[in-house]
Amino acid sequence: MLKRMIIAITASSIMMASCKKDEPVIECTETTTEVNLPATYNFDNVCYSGQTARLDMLAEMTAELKKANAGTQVDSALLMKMFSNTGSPFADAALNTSGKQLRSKTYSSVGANNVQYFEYLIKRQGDISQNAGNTWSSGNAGVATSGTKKYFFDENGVEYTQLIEKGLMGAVFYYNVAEVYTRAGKIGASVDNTTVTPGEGTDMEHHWDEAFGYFGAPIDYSTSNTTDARYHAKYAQKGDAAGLGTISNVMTQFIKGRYGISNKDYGMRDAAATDLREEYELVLATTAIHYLNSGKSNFSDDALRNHALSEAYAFIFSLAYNADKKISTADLNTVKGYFEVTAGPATVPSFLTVTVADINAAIDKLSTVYGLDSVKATL
Amino acid sequence: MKKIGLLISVFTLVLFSCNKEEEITCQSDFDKKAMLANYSNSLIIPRYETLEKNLTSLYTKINVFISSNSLSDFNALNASFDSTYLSWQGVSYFQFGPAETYVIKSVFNIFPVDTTKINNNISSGSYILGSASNTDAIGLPALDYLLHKGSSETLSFNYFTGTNSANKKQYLLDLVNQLSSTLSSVLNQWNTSYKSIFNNSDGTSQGSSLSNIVNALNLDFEKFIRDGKVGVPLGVRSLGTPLPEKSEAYFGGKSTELCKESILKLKSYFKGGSGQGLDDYLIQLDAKHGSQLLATKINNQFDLIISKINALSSPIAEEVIANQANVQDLYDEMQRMVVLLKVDLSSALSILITYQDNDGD
Repeated sequence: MLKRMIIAITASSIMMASCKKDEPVIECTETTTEVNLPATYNFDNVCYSGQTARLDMLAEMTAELKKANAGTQVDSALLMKMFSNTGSPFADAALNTSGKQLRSKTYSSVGANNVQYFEYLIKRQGDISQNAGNTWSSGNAGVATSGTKKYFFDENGVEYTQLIEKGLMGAVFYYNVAEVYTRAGKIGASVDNTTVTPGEGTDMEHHWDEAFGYFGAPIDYSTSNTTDARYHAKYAQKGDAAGLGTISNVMTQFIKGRYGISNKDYGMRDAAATDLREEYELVLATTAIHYLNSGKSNFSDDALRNHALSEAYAFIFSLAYNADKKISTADLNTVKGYFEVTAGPATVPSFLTVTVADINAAIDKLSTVYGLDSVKATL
Repeated sequence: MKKIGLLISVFTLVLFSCNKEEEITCQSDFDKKAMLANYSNSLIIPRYETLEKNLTSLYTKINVFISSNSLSDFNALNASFDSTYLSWQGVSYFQFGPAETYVIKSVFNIFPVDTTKINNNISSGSYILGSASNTDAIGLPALDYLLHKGSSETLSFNYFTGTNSANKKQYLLDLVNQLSSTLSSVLNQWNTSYKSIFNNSDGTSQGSSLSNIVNALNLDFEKFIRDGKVGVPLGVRSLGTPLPEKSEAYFGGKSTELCKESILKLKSYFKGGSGQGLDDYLIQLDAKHGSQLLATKINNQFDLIISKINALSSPIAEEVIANQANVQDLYDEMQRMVVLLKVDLSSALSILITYQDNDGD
């Protein structure tokens, strides 16, 4: 404790000594960054087991959802139990006793696809997958095949497995990073950054680590070391492959934020929080364009097209889970709109009448907003 | 004196370093930009323009037939369709850049078609050809179906004089319109912004012109030529059971001619027409296949494939039933070519094949 305080005091003395009185703290922050940032997320007391548990839970849910691809009806009651971790629903016993769940961490307010939406999707997948033994055609739910790949779609060509899996990645993982753990409520002035809990760090450190846990990256994630990357971290490889430095961009902000917190450099912490949201958002945007490209190049193959567009649609609507999102709500609705139809009072996703021009319009809008014109064709 | 000595040694150095057996050869002397300019100016754009002319002529002939309703105009329309289908063969492997943006292949040549869907579209008279639900009811294969509804040209002609004749003719026009407008978007980009991007992108990384050329021709050869034209009808993807109805131009019976044209045009493309092409680049790099020059090996393989096509005496759809062994021979030689193109050619040019689907999902 004393050692830590001395380090902290020494650090601030150095900072004070190297900062001119009138200069904003930020300048010192930048100098410190260049010299001292670790290359990996290697800090004391890092723990995010709760987040890892939730990633594992989503994996078991996805396995259940994908039974429809093999022609089997999906058990939506089981999925609902998995969603809220009630009644020991998981094959991995440790998850059942983890005390964690996905449902309570899912975005639950208005203005974006929320927890009720996902419950509706889960129940619907259970219902319509009674047709999983049928062959898909326009207007008829069933399985479409391309080579060895089989996907179950609803009557509109939409793969609910993707909406649920990729959607929950957005509504739980991305949402918690962008709206919870990088915000004042979790890393602001009212949050303790002094009392170290062994194995967990201070409250502020721990909250930032939880954000890192949701990303799905190993602590030494880089372009040359990608094994064990999961979920959004894995999708950072799309932008990385196009030369955008996506992996490094996100990892640097995570490292910077944790370093700033641990060294009580709150200017660095806050800059990292802002930049992290931007870089993470780019992971979603680049992945959306990647799947739109895939939907286009496979346009005449029902299975591959609908699968790709389902993924794209889920990554697109995930952009909403960030109050500071770069795309405007109006533009986001426009992009989603290319892949939706009205059904009575509701709007539902549908790929039956989509055209190549629609897909290109969606790509172009996303690319313009996120500055990706130079790579949009290769994503 | 000193100067002459220096000159002599420089001269010797130059001679010595251009010796073909030296490891560091004159490969940097190969003008890649000139090769790319040859591809865009002498092959890609002209072939697209030929296709465009044929489509315009086809559209005109449809209108002539619509007003005259004469058998001879129907025959002229068919001949124009055949020319158009032939001229598509030479552009199928340009699937990058503008072709990729507008997914021109999915508009022009997806087969087999869903004949029920086509008939329903015509009966209802209401359809959006570009929509995802119509990808198997459009393009040259849809025209192939509609122009050969009968077992003879006269019987096919009769289809257009029966019920719903106006809708049937309108569908022909709409199909050709969709082809023309898509091609026009692609050609427009080639003739304006894309050509100089293409000509100047002389690296080998993903997205470079050479990478695009090599990847697109490999994808087309493997999936659309070897499998689409030959392998699938032969039964290679259906446990040996032939599927003749899945062959190209099934209804008009022109699959063998189209296959041959495709290979002839591909060979010419590989050679850069009468200018600098991939084969010249391979020769400069001294790329070898065993003890033979790789360029020679590939050209020879093209000739071997053509000889196998020449051994087919009827459309592929009929040959896969009547003379299966001949089609199997053709498939085997195409398979050997896949290895040459996908493995030998790509590594000689330092191009990574990127179209294998590695979606981790």
